[in-house]
Order: sequence, then structure tokens, then C-alpha cells
Amino acid sequence: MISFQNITKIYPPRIQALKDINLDIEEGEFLSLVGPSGAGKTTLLKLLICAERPTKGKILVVGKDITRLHPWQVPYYRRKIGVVWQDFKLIPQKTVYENVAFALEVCGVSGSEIKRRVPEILNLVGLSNRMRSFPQELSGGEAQRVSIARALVHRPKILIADEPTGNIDPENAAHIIDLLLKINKELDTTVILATHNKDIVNRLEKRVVTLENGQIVRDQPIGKYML
Amino acid sequence: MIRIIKFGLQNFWRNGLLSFASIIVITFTLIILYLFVLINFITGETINFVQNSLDLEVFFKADVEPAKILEIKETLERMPEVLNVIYISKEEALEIFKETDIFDPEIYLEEENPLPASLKIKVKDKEKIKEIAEFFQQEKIKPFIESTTFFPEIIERIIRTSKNIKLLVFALTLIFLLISLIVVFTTIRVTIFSRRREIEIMKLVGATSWFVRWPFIIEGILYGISATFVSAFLIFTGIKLFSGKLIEFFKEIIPSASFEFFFSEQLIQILILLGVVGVLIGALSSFLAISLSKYLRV
Repeated sequence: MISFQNITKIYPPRIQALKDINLDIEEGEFLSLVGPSGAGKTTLLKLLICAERPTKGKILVVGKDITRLHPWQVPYYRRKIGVVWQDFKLIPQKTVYENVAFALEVCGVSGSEIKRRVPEILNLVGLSNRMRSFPQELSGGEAQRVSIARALVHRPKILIADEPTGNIDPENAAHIIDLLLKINKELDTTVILATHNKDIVNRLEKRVVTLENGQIVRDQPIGKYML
Repeated sequence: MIRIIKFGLQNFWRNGLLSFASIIVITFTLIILYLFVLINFITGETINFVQNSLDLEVFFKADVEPAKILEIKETLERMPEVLNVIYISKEEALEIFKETDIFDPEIYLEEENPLPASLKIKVKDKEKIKEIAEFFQQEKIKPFIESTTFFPEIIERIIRTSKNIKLLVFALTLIFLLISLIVVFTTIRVTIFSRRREIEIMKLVGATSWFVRWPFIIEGILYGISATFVSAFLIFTGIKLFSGKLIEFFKEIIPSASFEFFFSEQLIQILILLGVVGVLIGALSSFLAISLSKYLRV
């Protein structure tokens, strides 16, 4: 479903973030991307959402090379992938409901469709009772669930999570991971999880790809976090 | 589409003080633009009037034969600058004089007719008066001439002065255009900066770049529209207060000019012009702000 082919990324003048990455991800897979800070995890994810362009190489997503998308095509591509960030990226002036609805509003989805879909997705992440709350009234775990809801509201086939548990206490972090597993299983969404949380990765027993200094050093089908 | 307008309106309201500053500056610009158009019109009418009312008339010495005068008339008529020439003989001049108020039969009508014969000249182009004045300066014609009513220096001075005034107001208009562009530009940049997180999120969840940009352009256009209304109001008030006096004032010096027309019918056209300029200022400067902002790049 996703195929990185000979991907190299150099940030000018000479910071080499990724060196000749080759990686295939199957549909419905749950893949953990691990490695120390600065190993290139975030760069790899940025390439996948077209926030950066590779210096060399191709990225095929459902057979299409996304490194050659026109700038005007990028938004339409992004609607097909959901992204969750470490810092949640919620709008503080908007309620939980409005934050999720916002993602649909900016894409021109009709009002009635929004009214139908937002409660549905908030129910899925278990936040039906917090719809009218503002982000600062939420715990880290709840805020992250809002951002997961927002990522899912377009019904993407791919969900990217960049350090989703980075700002959350261990117990809530486990809930977030459970939610990601549930999404992977029930919605058949391909999940790419970037993390450096050892416990989480070891508990998952899913495929683990380890990055170090911009290169893939290990790719294990049922992986452990090893350094 | 409705959402884009809604976001634009929100930007407009949330910027409070800066919105206010933008509207004020555009209003100033529009009023100065209005004054520019007004002054253009008034000076144009003034020059027209002065040139029309200054009859070009050449008075001949009493001993010049009518045949000679007619000969000069024919030469004049062949000149490209001349529209037509009317010959007024001594007798006709007396007839005209008799009809005026200052004619008093008891004082005049005793001796022979003291009035000179003359030629009244109409020119095609007012700025060509100089050439005709030069024609009468020629050695072979000059001896016949008693006097002329040509004042090329005066007309030239009026034209020059009005050109200077126009230039000054035009420069003022340009300066204010520039200032208002900069102020609106800055305002929009502040809006973009204060909403950079929201913009980032919009882009990341798949909003098209035009969906992100339009609200800012709408914000700029709203400044233009608001300023048009404010300046229209001020101009109307100004006209209400001063136009009566102004029209009277100009009527006294320039009876022929139709200033009422300018203040009524043409006003609508001018306001439309102001509106277009205002909206253009707003749209152009927000477009610039958008193009130069790093927060709006993909």
C-alpha cells in the first residue's frame, strides 16, 4: 500500500536526515517506527504527508508517486490520510465538537453530513460526553483522543501517529495505543506509529522498523524495541 | 463558500483596533482621491471659462482701411489654429456700444465715431493663442494695430498654476494610496500571524490553499468597502455643509460652469470610483500579504 523507494532527504546545507530508505507497508498493517530522537522518524512521516519533498527517491501510495503531486493536489491527498501529533494541534478557541467538525468544514463537507459524522466518530473514541468542552479542560489523553477523532473523521485508509503518547502519562498512553489497535482492527486502517516508548512497542507485538542515523537498521515482523 | 465568507468576517471583527486603523487610512485616501477629482474638475472649468470669456479681439488704428482689415481677416482664416473671425466695423462697434448700459447719448454722440474697427477671433485650441499673438507681432501687421486683448501670459499662468495644483494633489493621492496599502498589508499580516496555528491545522487536515487564503482577501475587501461607506458619508456631509456656498462662490467668478451637475449626478459615478479603488486597495494589499507570508506555504 505504501512503498518508500530509495528515499534520501538532505536538509540544506548538509544535514542528511534519511539515507536510501526502502520500506514497504501492507494494507491493514500496524507498524511501529522506532529509534532515538533525530533518527529520521519525523522526517519520514513528513514526507508521507507531503509536508516535505524527498531529495531523491519515490514514495508510492496506492500505486501513485506522491512526491510528484502538484501543490494543488496535496490537500486532496491529505484528506485520505489521518495524522495525529504529539502536541495534538487542537484549536483552543473551539470546542471538542468544533475541532473535529473543523476538519470537515475546511474540506467543504455539507453541514448535515458534519452533524451526522462528528458525534459518530467522537463516540468511537469515547468522548461523547465531552463534546462541549474546550481543549484546555481536557486531560492529555482526552485531547489526544480528540485529535485521533479528527484524523479519522475523513475515514482515511492510513493513520499516521507521530509520538502520540509523548505528552501523556503511561496509563492514558496505554489507552491511546489500545484505541489505535482498535482502529487498526475494526476499521481496517493502516496505522503507522512513530514512538520511542519502549514499553508500548514491546507490548504491541507487531512489526517494528528501527531507524538510526537516517537508515533502517532493523525490520522485525514481531518486534521488540532494542537499542 | 459561505464558510470562507464567515472566516473572513471573523478576521475582520477580531482585529478590532487594526481594522479600525485600516479603515481610517483607506477613508483618508478615498477622500483625497475625491478632492483630486473635484480640483481637476474645478480647475478645468476655470481655465475653460477664462479662455472663453477672454475674447480675442484686435482693435485697429482709426486710419486703417477696411480693405486692409479684411485682408488680414482672410489671412487669419487660413491659419489652422483659427476657428472663425468676425469683422466688426466702426459703425457696428458703435451699435454694440449703444446697447450697453454705460452709453449715454448726451455725452457721446457729438463728434464722429471714436470707436475702432476690430476683429473677433475664435481659436480651436486655447493653448494656441500664443501663435496668433505672434502673428500680430509681425512687422508688416503691427503698425495697423491699436491694441489687442490677448493675454497669453495670464492664460499660461492659470494653466501652469492649475497644473501644479493638480500635480500636488495627485502626488498626495499616490502617497496616501501607498500608506493605505502598507497599513492594510500589515493588518492582514498580523491576522495571518495570530492565526498561524489554525492555518497550519487547516493545511494539515486537507484544506486547499485557496480555502485558507480567501478569508484574508475578504478581510481586505471588507476594509475597502467599509472605508467607502465612511468616506461617502463624510463627503455627503461635506457637500451638504459647503456646496451651497461653494456653488455661489464659483457662480460669481465663473457664471458658465455647471457645478450643481458635478455635485449631484456625477457624485454617484465618483462614489462608485471610490468604492472600486477602496476595494482594490484592500484586495491588493491582502493578496500581497498572503503571497509574502511564510505561514501560508504548503
